Amino acid sequence: MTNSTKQIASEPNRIAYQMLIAIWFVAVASGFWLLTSYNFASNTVSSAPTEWPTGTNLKLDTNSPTLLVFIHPQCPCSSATLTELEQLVSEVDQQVKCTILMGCPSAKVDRWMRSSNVRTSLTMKGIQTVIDLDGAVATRFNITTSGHCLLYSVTGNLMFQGGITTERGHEGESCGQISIKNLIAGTPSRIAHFPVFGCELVRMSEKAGFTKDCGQEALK
Amino acid sequence: MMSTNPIIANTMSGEEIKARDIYLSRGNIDRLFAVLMLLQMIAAVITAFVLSPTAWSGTQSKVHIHVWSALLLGGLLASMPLLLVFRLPGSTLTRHVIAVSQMLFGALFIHLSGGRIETHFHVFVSLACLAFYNDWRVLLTAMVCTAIDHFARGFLWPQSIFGILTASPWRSVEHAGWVLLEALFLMIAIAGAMKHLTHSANREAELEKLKSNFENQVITKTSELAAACERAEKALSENLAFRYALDRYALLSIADRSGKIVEANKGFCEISGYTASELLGQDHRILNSGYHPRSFWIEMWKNISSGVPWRNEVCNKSKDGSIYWVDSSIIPQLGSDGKVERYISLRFDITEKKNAEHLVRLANQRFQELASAVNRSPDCTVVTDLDGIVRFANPAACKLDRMFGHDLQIGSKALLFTENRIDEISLHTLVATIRSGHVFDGQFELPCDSHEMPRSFGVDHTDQSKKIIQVTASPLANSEGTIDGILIAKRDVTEGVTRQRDLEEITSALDAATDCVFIVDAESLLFVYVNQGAKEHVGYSFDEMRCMTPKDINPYIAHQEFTDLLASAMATPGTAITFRTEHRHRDGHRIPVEISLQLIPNLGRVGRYLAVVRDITDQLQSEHVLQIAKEEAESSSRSKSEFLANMSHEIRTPMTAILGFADLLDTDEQYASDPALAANAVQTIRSNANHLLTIINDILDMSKIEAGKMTVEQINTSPKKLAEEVTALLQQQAFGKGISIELHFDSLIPSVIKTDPTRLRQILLNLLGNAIKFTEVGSVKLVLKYLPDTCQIQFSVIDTGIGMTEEQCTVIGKFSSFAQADGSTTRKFGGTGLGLRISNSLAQMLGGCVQVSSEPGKGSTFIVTVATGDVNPVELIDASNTPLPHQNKVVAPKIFESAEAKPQSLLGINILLAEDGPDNQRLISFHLRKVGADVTIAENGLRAFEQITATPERFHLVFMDMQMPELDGYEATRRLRDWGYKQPIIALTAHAMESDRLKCIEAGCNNYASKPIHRENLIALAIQYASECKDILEVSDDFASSGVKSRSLVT
Repeated sequence: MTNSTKQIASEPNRIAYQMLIAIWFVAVASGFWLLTSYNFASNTVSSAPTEWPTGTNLKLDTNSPTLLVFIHPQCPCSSATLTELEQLVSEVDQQVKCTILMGCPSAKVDRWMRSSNVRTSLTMKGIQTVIDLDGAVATRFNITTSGHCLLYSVTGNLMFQGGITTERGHEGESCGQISIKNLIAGTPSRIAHFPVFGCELVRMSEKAGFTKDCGQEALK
Repeated sequence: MMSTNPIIANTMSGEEIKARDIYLSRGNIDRLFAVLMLLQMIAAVITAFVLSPTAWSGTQSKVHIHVWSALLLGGLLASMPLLLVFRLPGSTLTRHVIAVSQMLFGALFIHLSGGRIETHFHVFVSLACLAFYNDWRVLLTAMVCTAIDHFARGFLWPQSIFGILTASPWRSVEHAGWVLLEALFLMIAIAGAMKHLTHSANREAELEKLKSNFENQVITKTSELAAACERAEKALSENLAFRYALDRYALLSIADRSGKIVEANKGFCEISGYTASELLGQDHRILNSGYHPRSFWIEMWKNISSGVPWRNEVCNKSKDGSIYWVDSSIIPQLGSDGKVERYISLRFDITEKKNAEHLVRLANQRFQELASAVNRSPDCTVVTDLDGIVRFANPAACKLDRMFGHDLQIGSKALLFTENRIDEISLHTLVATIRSGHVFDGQFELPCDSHEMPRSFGVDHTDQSKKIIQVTASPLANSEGTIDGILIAKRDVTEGVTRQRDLEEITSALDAATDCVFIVDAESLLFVYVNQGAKEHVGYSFDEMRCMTPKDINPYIAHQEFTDLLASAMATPGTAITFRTEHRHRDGHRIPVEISLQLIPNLGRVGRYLAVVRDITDQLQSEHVLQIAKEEAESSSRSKSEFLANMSHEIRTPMTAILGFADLLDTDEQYASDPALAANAVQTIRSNANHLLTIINDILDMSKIEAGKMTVEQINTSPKKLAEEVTALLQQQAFGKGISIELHFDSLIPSVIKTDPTRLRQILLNLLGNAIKFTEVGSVKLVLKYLPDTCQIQFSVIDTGIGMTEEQCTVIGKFSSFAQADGSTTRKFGGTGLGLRISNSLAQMLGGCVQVSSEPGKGSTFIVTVATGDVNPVELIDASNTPLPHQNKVVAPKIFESAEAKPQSLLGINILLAEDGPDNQRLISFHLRKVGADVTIAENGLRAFEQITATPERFHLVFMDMQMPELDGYEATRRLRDWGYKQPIIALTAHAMESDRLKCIEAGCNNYASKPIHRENLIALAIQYASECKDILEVSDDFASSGVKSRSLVT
């Protein structure tokens, strides 16, 4: 016990260590608080047109509701959206026409199309992936954040807009998913707004003008 | 030495062992967790990088905040556990902090992975790992931490826990239940482990106690055994030491009753050279050297066989035959029966002692011999102590000291130490040298007792009352090495020193001599002495010359000649043989010498050669110079004699013609009656007279040059005009011989130079005349060239004549008086041989010279250079394009043309001719009257003075001879001028030198004409001066030209 006795800190040192540990603990707690705050900090949700906009080549499905999901190909947070979307579509049993719009700058299409988000979307069943060159479609629908979902009825009325994850990049069932499932199932509901957790989408430059949907290309 | 007291081990109780093991175990687990912390931090960073490396804003990206969180928050989580593990391993505080950190790492991973369900397993794994601490309180801390995290986040961000905002509360219960279940199992496991640990610790404590008792017994027994071993080792060591001493210092052998060796130690074997196996079984006769008689051994056996110990010094012989001595003691050892059972022989090596005794005996013997020799020696030997008290002195020393009135006694003071014998300093030096261990060597001059002086000494001392003693004092050391005595060797060296001084004086005298003295051994021919002069003469030192013979410094002499000279000197000893030869200096140069060699028979074994050598280099040079001077003087004398003979011939030859034809005109009727013959005779007479005049002029010029009275003028002269004039003058002569004379210009030449045109013309006329004379075919060229570098102008006279050989050129090139290329030249071509000499002298006076080159049969070239003088700035003209005025034309002197073409008239001119010679009176008056002058003759100067002063207006012109009886021309002229006579007076004189002309001018003459009188010149002068006083003559331009005037003055 002699050695162990020697290892035990003396009284002043013990207090110093306890104070140091307290400071450390406060710092750690603060770090976790900041990290968690960041994860739950959603971007400002823009308002999409309440009716299917004209002047776009994107076709509204007249047989089933149309679900549009705007994804930034490089956004790490949106991988959770894609996971949740795949589960959602499989749960509604193909009762919705789902289209993922991958916003790409025209100069980086080749590179961005090799991202994990694009590869994941291409493997998802019953979901169409479209390249939104220079964010033309996102601009037309006034969408700014990756992971933003729009659900239009067969008549072109907006039924839902927002995210389908509970926090940034965090998988798990969310209220957004439940709301979409209900709307597809025919449960009447007001237009719901849910927070969106993701990166800012590529937007068409205002200088370039916007007269029509351009650069839209279907990958699948 | 080990202690015999048992050591009581300090064994631990079971609790203590348990606490120790727990502490050590927890410390190890702390370190494992420290490593785990680091790995988790790295894993967090990698996870963040892989899953969410960047956050995007359109096309812009930045590092994702998850990466920074993994790095900073992960580092923060790991830092405190690491610090505590390092500072406080095994402590309670450390493992609780580790528990908190480990659980929070789980939370971090859940964040970074986006809430993947797999990451929740981290919580359960962490709890399991923390269970290794065997401390349920650590699990409690971990669970509390997880609970706080869970509930705090659930409170703040409820969706972060279950993904939806409205999850069922039972899910929290389910989560907590799983955790508590695991914690329960882990705590049970911990309790079991602690129980097992307690049991093991108690078992270990019992084993430790048994082990301690056993070790105490072992230590006690070991201590007893060590003490026993120590005693045994001590006894063995003493025994070995005794044996070693015996082997080292004594020779031990043991023999049985019969004398056979049964044991021999190492020392005995080494000294005898036999091995132990060779000795065993042998008796000691194997070592018998034969030194001791048989009775010696009988006596020994008699003693030891009767049981009496025996001891003696024995000389033995080893195996290799060498002899050694031993001090042998034989102790008989009796057996129980009272008889000798064995003999123990103990010996000591005393060989060195016996050798030393032998040496001492030899030394004593030699000392006795030495003392006897010293006593018989004629050299003086004295031994004293350091105070000079005599310990020993041989008879010779006693005898020498008696000469100085000193009675040398043992115990008394030695001579040098007695008062006032030598000065204090010398004595002090002697003693100090001895004390320092060195040998003192010196000479002392001591006053001696006249009564003791030996009459037969035979040396002529300068001071008979003193003697010179050579003293050599050596230190003597006692047996301890301390110097306590002096060995003094003395010798009377008075005679030797005196001779040495004499020899030094002679050597000094010889060294001071200017001649070189060599002394050579007659047998070996090696140099035995050379004086200083000789060493300097050949450049070798005497040490070098010791190994040299005369042949080495005189390699030029033939061996036979050298041998003959030595033989001659050997045959006539004392008589010097003088001869000349050459020596070779060390640096190789040859030295002419005159050697006086003789044999001195009474030196050395067979005599020695004495050679007195004198350097005759200067003498030979003087002789050579004298010889050259003599030859030159003889040559000059021969030249003068030859010249006189030539002159006699040259003068007599025209004189013969003149006198002969004059006789013919006077006496021969045919000549008198036939005008053609008469004219021919007159022409012959004139020609020879002119030739005679030329000879006389040359002689006069030469006389003036040699007398240093020749002067030259420096006036502006055109070299071009001068060259043209000279070539024109000689054109007819060349034309007459059928050769051409040409003038060329090799360069631009100055238009004017400052020189004496008369002398330059004379040179060129002489050289061109010679060239024409010696050229039969071809041409003669005069080439002018300006030499600006030397400010000279060069006239080259080039002919195509007979030329000269190299020897003739050499003779001519010396420009000696009376020298001609060949003695036959005068006979063949005429001339006095003075022309070139005069030309060269004149050229030198004009700042140049004459050079000659020639080739036999091809022609000669004479180059004359004269200084251009101060003509700066010089105007250079291209004369080569100017045609020669008289080229290829026969041009006669104008004066003759004019004289012949224009009859002269002195009509109305009254001339007084003062001339004492009747012939000249008739000749001159004839010439003057022939051109119309009225001539009055006065016989001498006085008569002329009287006639002129009587009628001063009568005469327009006076010709005054300068040498007349009663009153000469100089005085008459002077008187006339003093009287006030203004008319021109022209001097007539046979003296043609410049000084004569000046003398005439000083006397008051206006001009002068030299004799013999040339008709044309005489008339020209008369007309010139007559025109000045009376304007009745029409004088032509030609007559007034300076050329005519100059000509008249020089002819």
